[in-house]
Amino acid sequence: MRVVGINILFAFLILMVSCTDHKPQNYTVAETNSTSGFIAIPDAKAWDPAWSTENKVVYQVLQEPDNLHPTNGKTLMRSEVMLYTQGVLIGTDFKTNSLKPNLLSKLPVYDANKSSYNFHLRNDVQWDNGEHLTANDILFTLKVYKSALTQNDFFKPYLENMLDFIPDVNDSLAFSIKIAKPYLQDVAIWGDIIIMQQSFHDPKNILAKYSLTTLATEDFRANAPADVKKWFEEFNSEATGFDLKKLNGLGPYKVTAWEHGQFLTLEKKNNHWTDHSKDSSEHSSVAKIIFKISSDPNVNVLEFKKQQFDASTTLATKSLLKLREDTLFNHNYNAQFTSTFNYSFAAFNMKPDGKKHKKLFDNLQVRKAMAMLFPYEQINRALYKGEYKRQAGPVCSHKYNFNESLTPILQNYNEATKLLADAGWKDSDNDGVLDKMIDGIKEDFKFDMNIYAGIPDWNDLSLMLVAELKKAGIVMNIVPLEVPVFLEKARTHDFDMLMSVWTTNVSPDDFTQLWHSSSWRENGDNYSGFGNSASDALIDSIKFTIDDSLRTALDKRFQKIVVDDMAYIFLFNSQRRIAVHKRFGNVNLYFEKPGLLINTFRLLSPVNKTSATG
Amino acid sequence: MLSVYLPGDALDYILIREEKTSITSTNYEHQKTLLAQRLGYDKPLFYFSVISLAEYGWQQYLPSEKQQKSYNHLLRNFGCGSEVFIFYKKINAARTAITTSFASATDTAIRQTASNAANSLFQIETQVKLSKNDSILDSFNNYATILKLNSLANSILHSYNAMQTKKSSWKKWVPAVQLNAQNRFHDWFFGTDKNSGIIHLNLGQSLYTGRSIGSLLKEKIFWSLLLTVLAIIIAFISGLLISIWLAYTKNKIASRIINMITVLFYSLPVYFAGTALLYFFSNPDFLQIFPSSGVMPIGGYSSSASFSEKFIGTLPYLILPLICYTYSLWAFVQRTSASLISAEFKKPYALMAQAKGLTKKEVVIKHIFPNIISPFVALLANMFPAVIGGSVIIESLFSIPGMGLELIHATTTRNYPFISAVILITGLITILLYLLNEWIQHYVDPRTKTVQP
Repeated sequence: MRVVGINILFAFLILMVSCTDHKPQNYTVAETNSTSGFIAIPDAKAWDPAWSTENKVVYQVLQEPDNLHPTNGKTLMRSEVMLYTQGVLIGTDFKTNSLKPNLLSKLPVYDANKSSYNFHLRNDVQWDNGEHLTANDILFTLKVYKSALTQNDFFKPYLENMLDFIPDVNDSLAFSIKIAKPYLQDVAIWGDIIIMQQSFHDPKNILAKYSLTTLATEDFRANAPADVKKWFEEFNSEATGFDLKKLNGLGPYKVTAWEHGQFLTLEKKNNHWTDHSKDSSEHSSVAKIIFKISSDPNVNVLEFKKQQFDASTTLATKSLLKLREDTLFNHNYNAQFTSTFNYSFAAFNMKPDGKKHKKLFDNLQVRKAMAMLFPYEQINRALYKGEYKRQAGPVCSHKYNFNESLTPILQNYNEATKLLADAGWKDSDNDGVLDKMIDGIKEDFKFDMNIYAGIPDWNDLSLMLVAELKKAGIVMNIVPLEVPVFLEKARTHDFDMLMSVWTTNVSPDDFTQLWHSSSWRENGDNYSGFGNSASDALIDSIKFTIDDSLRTALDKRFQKIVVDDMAYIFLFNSQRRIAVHKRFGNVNLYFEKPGLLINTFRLLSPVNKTSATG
Repeated sequence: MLSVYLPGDALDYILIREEKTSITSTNYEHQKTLLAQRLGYDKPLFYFSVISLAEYGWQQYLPSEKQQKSYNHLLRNFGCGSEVFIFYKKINAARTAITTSFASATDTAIRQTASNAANSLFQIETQVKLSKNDSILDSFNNYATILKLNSLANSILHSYNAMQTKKSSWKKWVPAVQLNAQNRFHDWFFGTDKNSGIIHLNLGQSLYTGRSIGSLLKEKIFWSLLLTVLAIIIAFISGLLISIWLAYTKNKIASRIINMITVLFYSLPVYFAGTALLYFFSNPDFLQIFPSSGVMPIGGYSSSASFSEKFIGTLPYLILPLICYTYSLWAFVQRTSASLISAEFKKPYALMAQAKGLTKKEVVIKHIFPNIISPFVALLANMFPAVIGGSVIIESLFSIPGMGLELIHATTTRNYPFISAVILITGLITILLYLLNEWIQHYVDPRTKTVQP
């Protein structure tokens, strides 16, 4: 009877599996018009009657924003929601990957004589209550951002260069910002500053009594008058970041629902000022955007198969590859991998202490050999089905300042073993592991590779690397660590090698944080210990050269130094995994975050379309 | 305790942005110190701490572990807290001033010298080899001369010499108990000017989002408790009923099948089971019966939806997660109750009852069942924390906005107030269940009542 029971169970399972659609796959890549800055997806030529005609985009995301507070949030997800609900002075031209004026009539101009930038606001920008945006709102915004009482500790260092706000008495739309010294990100930083309406947040004009410099001092934190302290307490409170009634912004959408952990709904404002903009790229066609939080890769695959989601930029690589093998998915969706401004790397500890961490990677030849032992092609084929592109240096290849003379290092086993032998590494005791006398002690070539725990791709990649290194007589031990521990070890140089990803953007590159020797010395993000007086001097020069044409030449020189010194093995340009339902047209895939501008999608009409199923 | 002894610093997580833009280390240290002050993380842990006499009264918060170690090392080795404190403050202030003042110097050589000078001071701030301090200070003096900062260098040297002169390293061998009127436990328990404390049922604020833990828990606990309680009720009632039925019918075939199923269910990993359920019952390629994730339709219900409409709408979302919550617990309950009943059957009172002519069904229901109730309630109290633990995986898989999912996020972001609140609440519920168990035991069997002497 038990055997019969088991047989029935197996028969049931086999039946279920056999019911799965195994029709021959008929996958074709979406036809694209690629330009240097973005990929345009052509509108679907046929309409499937089963497609929804609701002008609503369900956008799958991995997590919800930390909050929607104008100043006190920091996640990328929050920035993405803010893109549709708030306004900033400087934005990104996603098609050209450059900065563009958003709420300004033109990009700010630097006046060297006055050490200030001159700004001029657009005259067509209106708040939801009909008030026009004025310089007063910008002053209020800057006061709040810089105030010692605002709980935006992570952001304050970026504002230290801004010293004062000088209004133009003759023009309510004009003002100047006095700066301490010209700095290459003076303009780009305005892309992260959410402009706030003074009359909405401070109707009693409490902050007007205090100057920008007074509010920013540490003394003010302790000695602020009671009414100001109360105002900031309310401003920093939970309600400002979560109560939908208290969310106010210049963007074309407003948040109408937020079920925490489930979804967040944005609805298009009626008669918004951008509707009348001469710039058609500012027009928003989608009536409703729902950010649906769903992080499990298997669930996401199922939801896309069921057409529950309209768009995503964060599908797992394996999920998208799997979905692209499904005929129905390809019938319903455009899906593609696109480049980003992020890249993965393996960092060496170039300055090990010689005790806890052996002196393995202080030698340039060894670092080069390691780079030549990485099975790049195998990784790309096995993990990414060949979709990923190599990264050549610290700047992404589609960025304006990329040094085109740089090419990625390729796998070359013979050259690698020769370099290792030249560096003194040989298997003297025939145990299959290379060894060398270091400071009078025979050391085997064994090391730890720190990776983030719980990310299957890192683990798979590391396993492939272990196998390749073993062939060359090198033993690599994989050490998965959770994020805070990983970061602490990286910053305190407590590692042999590590693998991670840097997220960058279209803004000009300040290499200080990642590459200046002070950033290694002071436990910053220069994990590997790259840098000397010459490279530091170059970084400092780049930092204070605001002329793009002059700085680009310096940028290129610097990239060459980093690549020659092999502080990192540059692995892959991180690819964004995008899927968009074919019921929407006017879809462009961008390299810059978030990869899609959902508000610009246009719901296609079944009228004048041939049936896709007919 | 968690924030001190777990690796990784929560403040780093708050300060580091997800996107890399440039920030200098001195700025970072400054902001981290201010943040620590705001959150009270610069205070000692408890009302007292056992330290050496050398450290007594001169401990201070420093933003990095290396700086903290180095400063404590200086205190212990020199024993003159006041002088060490002044020396350390001076080198820290001098480094910040040099880094800020010379960062935009046009002369590359001067900029490099300033960088070297700052580097020397940072070495003293972060290293524990005191023998190196003399040579490092010599190099700093040379750099300071080039930068025309002689008075600064002299001031530092003066403090260094004062430290050497008043050295009383014997103090490190004398233990001392330091009383800390202001401490983190006190803030957490009795509150501060910004937070009324746990004594007023205020669980604090999320470090990550700024939300109050109370409102966060209120929102999250509903789904977790709903599923947990439903799973426990279903598992206990069905498991127990099947065991009772098997005990008096003695149906060997049914018993074997149930045994096989319980072994399978008990050993089946919940993630695998959940994924399999999704693939079989929420897949357009096979059976599309249940939704895959969430607890309500995407976009929610209309404002005019009635309770019954919401209930009926939500029900399909709960079926698969509920199966995941229940199956393993059911297997455990069934096997445990079956063995308990089997053991009771061999006891004299059960044999006597059978000898008196009662049917097996009557023996089980009238005599054995009341006797296994109390161990079962004890089992329930023990199972509760385990079921909450299991919810982490299920909620993550099915995107249920419960405590489990939030706990994962809180753990990875070092959101200690939330973690401690969950531990506190789970502990409290477990204690309540133990009390309930005591009460039921007394109710079922009055003999177990404690007799006052």
